[in-house]
Amino acid sequence: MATLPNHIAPLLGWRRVTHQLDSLPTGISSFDQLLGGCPRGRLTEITGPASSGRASFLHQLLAAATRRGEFCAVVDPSEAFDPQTAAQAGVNLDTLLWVRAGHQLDHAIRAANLLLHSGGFGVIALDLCGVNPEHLRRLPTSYWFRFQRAVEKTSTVLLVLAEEPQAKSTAALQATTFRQEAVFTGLFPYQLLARARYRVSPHKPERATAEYVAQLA
Amino acid sequence: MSLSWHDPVYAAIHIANPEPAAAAALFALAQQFSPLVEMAGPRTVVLAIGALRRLMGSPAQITSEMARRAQERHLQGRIAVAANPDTAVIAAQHLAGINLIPHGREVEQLGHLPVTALPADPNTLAVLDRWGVRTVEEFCALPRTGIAERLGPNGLRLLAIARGEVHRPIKPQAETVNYEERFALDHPVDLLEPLLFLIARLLNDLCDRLRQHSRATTELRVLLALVDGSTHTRVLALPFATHDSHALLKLVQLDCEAHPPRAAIRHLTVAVLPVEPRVIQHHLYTPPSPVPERLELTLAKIRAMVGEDKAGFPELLDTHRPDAWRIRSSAPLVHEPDREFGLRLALRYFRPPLPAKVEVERGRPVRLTARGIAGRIVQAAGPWRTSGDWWTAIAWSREDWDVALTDGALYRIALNEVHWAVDASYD
Repeated sequence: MATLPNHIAPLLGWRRVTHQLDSLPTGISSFDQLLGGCPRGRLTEITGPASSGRASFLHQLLAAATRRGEFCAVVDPSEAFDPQTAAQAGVNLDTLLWVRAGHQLDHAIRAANLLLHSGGFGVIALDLCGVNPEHLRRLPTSYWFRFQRAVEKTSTVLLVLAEEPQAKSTAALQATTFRQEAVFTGLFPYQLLARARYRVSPHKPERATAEYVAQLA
Repeated sequence: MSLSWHDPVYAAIHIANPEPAAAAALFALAQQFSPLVEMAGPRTVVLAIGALRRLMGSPAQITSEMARRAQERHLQGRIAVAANPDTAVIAAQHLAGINLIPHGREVEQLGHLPVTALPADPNTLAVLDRWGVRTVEEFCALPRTGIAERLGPNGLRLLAIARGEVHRPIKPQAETVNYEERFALDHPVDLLEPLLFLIARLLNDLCDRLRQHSRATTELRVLLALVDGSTHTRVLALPFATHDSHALLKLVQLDCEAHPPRAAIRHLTVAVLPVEPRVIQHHLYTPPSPVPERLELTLAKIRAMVGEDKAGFPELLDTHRPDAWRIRSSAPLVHEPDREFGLRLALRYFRPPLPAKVEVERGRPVRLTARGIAGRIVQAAGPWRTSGDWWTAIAWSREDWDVALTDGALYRIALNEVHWAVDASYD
């Protein structure tokens, strides 16, 4: 794109983003040191398998945003969000809108779109973990371009959580989470789950891997 | 001597029409000239007109305009202008036509009136009658000290009124505003679009009225009388005060689509609850938040799609039962204080829980199988036995385990009486 004359790119439907928006720190210091947080006005995609720290990442981001007084929304087609552990992580539930889409992916997508156009949110999280992969594959790619267009002139962080990458090129930040280890303390049989260690590896933009440890409340 | 515009000037209107509707018309007429209107009697109003000089001219011009508008409303009345409200009222009630009474000439103009024209109680009037005082002029001629000795403070006040020496502010009458609109249909309506057209018209009027009186609303009530004789009532409670008719109409539309009336409509009533308008002072460094009207509309659209109780603000319940919360429809006004927090293990719930097969050896789970989950349990913490609500019909008792499978996945499984289930995963 850099080699194309300026008047050609718009004809091809390419969009050059000229304004630079700030980032919202996630509260995970190792991640924030690498990337400064999640970019506002952009789509961020965090993917990973089950128990890889995606929800802990989400709760940290929501906690950081709601502590700043920002309104946040979680669109949750799987109805998996846990308000209790979110509150323990520091999320202010008074400024958190939770939309349970009743296992209907199309409802979740429409709800996220409505919230994006409503404006004024610090974070809108679309949690696609646990959604039937077959349904996700049938999701038109154009939806992600619409989300990208809708969020780009706002100060909202649009966060997508999924098991496999969905937003592809429309995401400004993509990272994969991995589970490292679960730490149980105490002697058998009197053990207690104490914490879990996770790893997050940004691959767009490519950065070194960051580690974070989530404690059991 | 003419009226000095440097003094407060008051006009009183007294009408002869006996019908009750005439009093409301008189009040409305007075309000056309001033917001400071006092009902001085069932058929008398007094209003401050000092501020009308720039708009309408001299007192004579103002009173002639009042007379013209009263005639338009078929009100037969008398008008008086004076430097204090009490003199204006006495003159309007007892002098014919239009009278302008300059300050200092009150006794001269009202002196010939009977003393009963003064706002005195019957006992005082009886005393004056025994004294042989018949007119206002005779009463004004009495010495102030003597009045004070014999009639006390009430007598002194009456003397001051008679002499035009009482200067008091107007006690404005709070206007009774009707925030309800009704519409009777010639033909029953059974489609949403024409119904919304009518509701829009009524809402526009109501919102105009709210704006005129510096009010907003937090509750909208729609009552639809149906052809089958029943009434379809919908009450929309808003978490914010607004007088935006477009936002209200959209909310009514979404509500009507979600809860349509079961028969055609023959009569409709729309009412709003007037409240103080919302006053917001934004701080320069406060992060932006959704505009309340737009957020409510967005929520209404989402609720119409996913269900009433599926979108809102979560609130934790005061119980030891796991996964206990409820959804509030609007954000609370009082936000919880900031707390210390850290990176905590998050749970992702399976709602409903996944039925599971768990192999148990020596009282501990060793293998877990559920939909999409299978593996040997390498570490387990538990059992965490809890129970509650045994005094109610929803008693619960459970045994929770935190388990790690060979692939590293962490789950919370629960034994509920005899059935195992995967409740959540640590993520």
